Amino acid sequence: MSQVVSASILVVDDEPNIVLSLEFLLKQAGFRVRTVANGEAALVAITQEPPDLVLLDVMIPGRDGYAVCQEIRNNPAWRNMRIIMLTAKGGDIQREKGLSLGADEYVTKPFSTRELVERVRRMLDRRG
Amino acid sequence: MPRDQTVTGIVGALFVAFAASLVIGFAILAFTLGEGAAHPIATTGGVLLAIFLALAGLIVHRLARPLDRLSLDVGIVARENLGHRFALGTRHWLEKLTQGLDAMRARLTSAEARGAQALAEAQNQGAEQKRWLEAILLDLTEGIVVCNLQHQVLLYNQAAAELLGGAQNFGLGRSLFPSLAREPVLHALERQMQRLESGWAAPGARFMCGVAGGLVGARLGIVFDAKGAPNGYVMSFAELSEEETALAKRDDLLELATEELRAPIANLRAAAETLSQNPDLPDTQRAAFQKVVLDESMALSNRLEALARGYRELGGARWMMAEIHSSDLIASLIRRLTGTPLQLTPTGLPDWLYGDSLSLLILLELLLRQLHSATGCEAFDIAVSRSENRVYLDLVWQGEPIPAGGLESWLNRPLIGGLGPLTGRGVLRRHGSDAWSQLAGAGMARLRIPLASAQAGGPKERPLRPQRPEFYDFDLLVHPVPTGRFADRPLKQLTYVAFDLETTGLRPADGDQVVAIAGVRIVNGRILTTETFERLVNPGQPIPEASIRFHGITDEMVRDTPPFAVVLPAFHLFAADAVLVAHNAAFDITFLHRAAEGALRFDQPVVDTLLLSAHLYPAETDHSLDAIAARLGLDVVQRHSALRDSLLTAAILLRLLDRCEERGITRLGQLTAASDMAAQLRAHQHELERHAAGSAS
Repeated sequence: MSQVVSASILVVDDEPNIVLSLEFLLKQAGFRVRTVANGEAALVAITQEPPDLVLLDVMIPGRDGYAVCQEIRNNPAWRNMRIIMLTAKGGDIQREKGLSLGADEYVTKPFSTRELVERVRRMLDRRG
Repeated sequence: MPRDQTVTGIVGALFVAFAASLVIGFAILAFTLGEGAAHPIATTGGVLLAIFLALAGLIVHRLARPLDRLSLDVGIVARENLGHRFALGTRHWLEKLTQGLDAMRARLTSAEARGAQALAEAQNQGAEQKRWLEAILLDLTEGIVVCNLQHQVLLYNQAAAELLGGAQNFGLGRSLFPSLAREPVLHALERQMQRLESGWAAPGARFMCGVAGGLVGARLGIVFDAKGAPNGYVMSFAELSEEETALAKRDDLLELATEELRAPIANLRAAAETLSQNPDLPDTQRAAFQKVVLDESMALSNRLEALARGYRELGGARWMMAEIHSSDLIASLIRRLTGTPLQLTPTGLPDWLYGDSLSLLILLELLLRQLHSATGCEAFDIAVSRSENRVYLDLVWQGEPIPAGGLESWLNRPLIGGLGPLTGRGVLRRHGSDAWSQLAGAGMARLRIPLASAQAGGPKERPLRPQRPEFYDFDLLVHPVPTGRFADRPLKQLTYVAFDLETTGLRPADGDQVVAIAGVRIVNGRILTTETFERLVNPGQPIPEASIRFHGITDEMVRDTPPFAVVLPAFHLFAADAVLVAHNAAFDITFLHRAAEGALRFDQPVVDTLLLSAHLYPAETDHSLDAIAARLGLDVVQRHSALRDSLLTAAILLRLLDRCEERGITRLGQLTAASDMAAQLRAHQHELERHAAGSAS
């Protein structure tokens, strides 16, 4: 369990109301959590200290979630970084685009917070 | 004058009478003057008579007879043959007259030719207009019926017959009304007549009209005769459109959104306000309010899901979209790119997609130009593939994928080409689509646009093909180990030609002949959609009805096509340097070899997708083309069955080669060995079955 406790997560979303809950719940689950509100800040934060997992909203100011996702996947050093895209874009094609650009999961809003935390935990466990 | 009297007859009679009166005159003169004068009078009379007879003969020969001849000839010219020559010889005095008649004849001839030409043109024009009308009527998805004022059907198209519920009560000369409700039609006709009287000739408004199957939307206009009096009417009608159905559904959704969401949001808001305004609530009450917040949030989430689902299902019906064949779209795109350095190679399996052709074309052109300036590439593949209910259009190039941000900025520019302020993003949104760029194999990248498949409704009906007998001619099937250029390269890097024949029957040994041949080239793992070979072949014998049912090729269609011996060298050239691929290849190869007669050599390796499938999927029993295609989720929409099957065979080959690679089969020698094994197994198995059947009977 110790590795899960030390796992770090970057939350990228510009809606403070959802960030509030996500940050609280993920910290409660034992993760280290940082939050940023746009694409550029996300890449800076990732470069400074690569997280184990990124919760990435698609509709963020500046570079959008797709672009950030593609950028992460372009860097071989970040190959093991897990990416969960969170989005209000619910279409099948957007899901396919997200997965094609390298996201591991694509979760549409609204979602169950409990299930999301569970999913994050499973994903980081699997990573080993 | 009696009809058959001739000028010669009349003139002759006159001359004879005159000569006779001359003789009688002189005789009377001689008799009166006495004997002394008789001799000089006789001499003078005789000379005069002789001169007269000579002159009369001249007149008869030079004038009377030619006139008679001429009147006969003129009769023939006038009644029978305008080109008939006047046979007067040269000894006559009618030169001027015949010249005049010839001139008249020439004028008549040219007038007649002009008349005939004008008639032919008029007929042509009439036929062309008829063809236009037929094409227009056939092409219309609206039903069209023309009736006289007694409501008898004078003209209708196929769509009308279908909309009015089949042909039982419907047909030319019959009344419109068993098929269509009387009242609405009469009412519309009356209103249209009223409008006419008030001088307003605009087409009538749409009205609803009952038919056997339900309701149709109809429109009615008056038809006039040459004098401008109404003598009939034309009605067009269509099923109540999908848009109308979709509109109704959207109304339902909006209602759901506005009304059904009000209650849970009210509950949520009331509970949240209560909680925040009363920080000192006792724990039991606080728990109750918290439960409300939780429950209503859940309820809202579920409601939203239902709404989103409904919205997605409606998505395709929002815009004026049509079924487009990818080949047509790509051909137009290539035409638009002529004069630019861009080279576009169509690959993959052509398919039907749902979209707006022009805006897609402009979008694709914009993307290609941007890709060109961003990457410097000039050669692109445009690959078509299908997955479930989606058709992918992929632009493929050698290099890196385009960053999402860059692509986004391309898409946000206004498009040029008469689409107003529409952007690329707008076109994608209209199509319920998006675009992205990703890797496409080693060193390759693609830009992908997913579009709705026009076949999402499920596979269309197709007549089942008779199973061809499997062929086990081991001379054809057991291959020598491939050598040279075929041996050393990975399977996917070889050039293949997948081909298919349509024949008069299934027994080449009993004289069945080829009626069509088609093939497609596969280069570097890409089906080159436009590098195809497709010919109809004259089999030199009637095509049996049973086989027409399956390939649709009739005697009429092959009447003016060359025989197989003439087509074969062209195919030989097309397939040169390529591995041949066919499904149940021995069947097709038998025909090739028989027609080649040693003059041409098809000595390249052959891959049989049937045997390959049998080897890779031993548990499956059905290895027919359709069964394999169904298992792999492949389908091809193509008008001609030989090309369709070639494309399908090509697509199946590429999928099977992927499987081969997974199994470590990477070279042609391994592949043919595996196929040969499958062939022997199947032949053996068939032998056993035959034995079993033989001993059972």
